[in-house]
Amino acid sequence: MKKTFAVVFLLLSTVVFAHKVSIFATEQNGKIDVYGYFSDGTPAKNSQVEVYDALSGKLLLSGKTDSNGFFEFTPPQGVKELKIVLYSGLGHKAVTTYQLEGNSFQTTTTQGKEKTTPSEGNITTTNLGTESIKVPSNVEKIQLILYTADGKKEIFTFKVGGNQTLTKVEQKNVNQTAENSKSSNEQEELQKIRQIVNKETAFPWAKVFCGIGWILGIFGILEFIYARRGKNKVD
Amino acid sequence: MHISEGVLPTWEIVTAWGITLIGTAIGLRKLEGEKLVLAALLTSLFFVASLIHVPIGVGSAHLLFNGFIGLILGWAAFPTILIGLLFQALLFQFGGLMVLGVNTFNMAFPAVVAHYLFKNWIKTDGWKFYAGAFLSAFVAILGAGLLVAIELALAGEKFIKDAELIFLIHIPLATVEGIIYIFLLKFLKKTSPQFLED
Repeated sequence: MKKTFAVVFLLLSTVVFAHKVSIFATEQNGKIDVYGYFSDGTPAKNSQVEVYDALSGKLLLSGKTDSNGFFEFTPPQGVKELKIVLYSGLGHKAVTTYQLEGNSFQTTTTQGKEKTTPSEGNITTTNLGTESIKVPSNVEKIQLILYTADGKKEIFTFKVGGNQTLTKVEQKNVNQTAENSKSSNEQEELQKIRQIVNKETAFPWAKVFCGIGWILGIFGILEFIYARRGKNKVD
Repeated sequence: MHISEGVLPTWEIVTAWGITLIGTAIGLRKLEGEKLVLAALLTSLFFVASLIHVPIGVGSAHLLFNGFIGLILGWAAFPTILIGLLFQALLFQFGGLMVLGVNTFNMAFPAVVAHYLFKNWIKTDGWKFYAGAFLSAFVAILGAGLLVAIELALAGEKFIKDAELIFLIHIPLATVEGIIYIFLLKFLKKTSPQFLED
């Protein structure tokens, strides 16, 4: 069996650890961004999200995460605490609660911080993956900024044509770290998400050895009981 | 593969606990002699294997090794997987304590089925050895996935969608495990053939 375990541990060092779905919620532009991810850091795509009033248990709204694992919604008025549930299929589920105090949000799982939104006349909507955006009629050019969970930033520039047609003018990929943009609080936000994801997805060596120790210990006790009964004749 | 807390109705949880406890009782009776030591090692293997993520396009799947455990241990797969899952739930929050019975049943029952289907095949030396080792991974993994899908369907989820996902994710996983089983069994046969006897 020694050889077997050598093989297993070799595999361990090269592959990442997975299979728990987690949920992370932050506030942005008066909306709540929900991010679902598996324990190996991959986003939980197209997963069902349900938002409940935590106090009354009433279902407020539901939806699905996009291809980057994000779901965005505006919390209804008059709700004090939200319960957000994420189902990623096959019985995987994650829950978080959110306290709404006036306009600020505090999450019970992580420290939520009040943030001001970047004020550059952006046409809002940061919900990735949706098809339609309403553009005011007097706008000639729009810029879409796409933040991905791995820290990349993509800027799309579109020209608005006569018949509500859009022509792509420019697409820039900006590396988050190399960029000194004005939207530093968004970067901060992403940094925070990434830190939490990294922390939770690191390989838990200590727990692995702890568990193996326990398992061998339990079987040791079993062996002892069997031997005492004379049931087990080793040697 | 691990069902989370609060997804299934109580009657499913209770029923599965009943079957799991019966299986564990039968399994503990069969754990004798050197098999107990092997069971301890296999429990550790199972405990660690779930941390090994196999990247498959549509989702995340991890190694299970329940087929291998079933082939060698038979009914003793129940106590083995129960203890492995207990520590996965306690240390990694995979699944949970309430649903431990369901998760054990899901993974151990197809393992026992694989044992009775293929235990005679892997004693031979020809193509049946390879086929038995490889197919036991499919029976154990797809069987576990099917049980999960059925339980979720009974809890009100859409069966077809889940079943589809299961096959998409678990066929590549079963292929990977099937190949690993062949190597592990070959090694075991060479070094300690007594474990494959009964």
